[in-house]
Amino acid sequence: MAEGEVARMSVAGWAFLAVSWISITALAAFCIARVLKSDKKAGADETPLD
Amino acid sequence: MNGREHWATRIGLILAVAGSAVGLGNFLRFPGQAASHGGGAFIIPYFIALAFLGIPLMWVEWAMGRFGGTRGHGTAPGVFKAIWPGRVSKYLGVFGIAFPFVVLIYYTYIESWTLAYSYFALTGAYSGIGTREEMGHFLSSFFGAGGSKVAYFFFILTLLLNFAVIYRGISRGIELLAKIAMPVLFVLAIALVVRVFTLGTPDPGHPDRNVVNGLAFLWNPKLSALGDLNVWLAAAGQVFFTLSVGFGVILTYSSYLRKHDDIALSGLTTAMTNEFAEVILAGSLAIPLAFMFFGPIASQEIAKAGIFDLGFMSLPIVFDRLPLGALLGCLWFGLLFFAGITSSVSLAQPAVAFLEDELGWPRSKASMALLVLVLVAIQPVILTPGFLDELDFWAVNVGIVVFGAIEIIMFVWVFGMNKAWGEIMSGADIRVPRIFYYVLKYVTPLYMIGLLVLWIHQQGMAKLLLEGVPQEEVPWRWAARGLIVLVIAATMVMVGFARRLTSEAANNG
Repeated sequence: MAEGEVARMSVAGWAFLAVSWISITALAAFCIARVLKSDKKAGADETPLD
Repeated sequence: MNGREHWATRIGLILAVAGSAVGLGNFLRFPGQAASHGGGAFIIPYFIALAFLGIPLMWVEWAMGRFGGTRGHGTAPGVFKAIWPGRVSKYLGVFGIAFPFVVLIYYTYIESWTLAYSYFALTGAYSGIGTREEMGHFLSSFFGAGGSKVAYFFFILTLLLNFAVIYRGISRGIELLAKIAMPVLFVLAIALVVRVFTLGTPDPGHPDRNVVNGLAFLWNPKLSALGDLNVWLAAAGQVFFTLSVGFGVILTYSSYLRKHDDIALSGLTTAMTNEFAEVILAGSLAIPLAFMFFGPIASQEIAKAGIFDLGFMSLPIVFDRLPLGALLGCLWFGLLFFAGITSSVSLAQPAVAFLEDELGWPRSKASMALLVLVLVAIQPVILTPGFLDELDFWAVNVGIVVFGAIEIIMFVWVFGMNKAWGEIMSGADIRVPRIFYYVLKYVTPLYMIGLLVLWIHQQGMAKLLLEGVPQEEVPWRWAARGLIVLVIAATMVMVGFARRLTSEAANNG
């Protein structure tokens, strides 16, 4: 690549970015929701581990 | 009941383990590795390594730690002994104390640079420096071989902050730090990402150097890279490094759980929190910024040059050119400092836990002993060339893979897969898919053994013989190897002593 020549975002680039971001965000949100749900079930916002 | 400390809250535990995982490697190492190993294509071997190596090994460390903790052991030697009562089992666990200690020595030093640079940014100490070369001289003038008063001042300040946390213990120290530092870290990172995404085209003379093309620089896939074994090796190494697996620190943290506390969901949550910080936040900061200000050719050089170039030589120039640059620079290095300190306290914990659990020392004495040891061991890191790099190479590139392989073989093959699976599922708040039973039993161990064989075949001899290393660094690099051997040997002696103590206690009891 010559100096000044810039590659633009390709369709594949957008696809890799979107799939990565969406899958990580979804899985992280799922995990946090489950933690909060099980904590709520245990009767407290911050479940004492003892 | 063995009277050990416990985490006060579940969210505190998750933030502490996530804090251990989210470190300098997330914000500086990942973007550089991705950009120089195929861009978007890097994410394929990265996700494969995450699914078949990182997350399974994380569950293994969580399960081993909880198993050992309920038996009064918070470090690998005691945990291994509980799993396999053979004579050598405790000695296989020494790496789970020795390697985190070795990393702690130099990691705290690099962490102190981030604190120093936060101060430099606010006071304009590097303001006006226009090139990476000049910024490299600025960095060397404080933190190059030979040291400086500034280097010692910020190192000692950082060390004292770390040990204040360690001294206060699990719930009042490490957990409290995580509950403050992790939310602050995420707020800082999100604020910086918003600033990067609203920069538009910072240099009107180069309209193509904008944020979208900066992301393209990182994400456009070069699929031919998938045929390169080095890319797969780099991706697996990054997953190992970023999740903090193979160090023994997660094992120690989870030893403060109770018998039926969940580990399956907590482990997955910490892994995904780490991935959010790494792939989404870190991937949107350093490399796109470097691209916008230095262009594609220089950015490629920066990505390949490693974390020091990117973090301490390139980005300070970038922030200095932006409006409110002093504040943004301070926030960036503050972010790195919070990422660093939540990791460094976790690196100290295995040694402290060993002294407490196996030698019966009070926490105050164990913390002070570690403080003194780090103060002594840091001297050659500050004063000599090549010492830090050599410690880093053997402890991180080799040590954690070797210890990770020992851990998984010990847990799934020696302990037995059915018992191991039962440990992971005990108290679980999510149902781990059954396929992971077979992944843990076959895929992860073979993956790790394959990585080790491949690494030895491709780089082992060259690294061992110090090929390409400047002549003036060679003696210091050998000295660094000597220090690693000394740390391992000293840990072995203490483990032997602790073993006798246990035997004596058992005989007397």
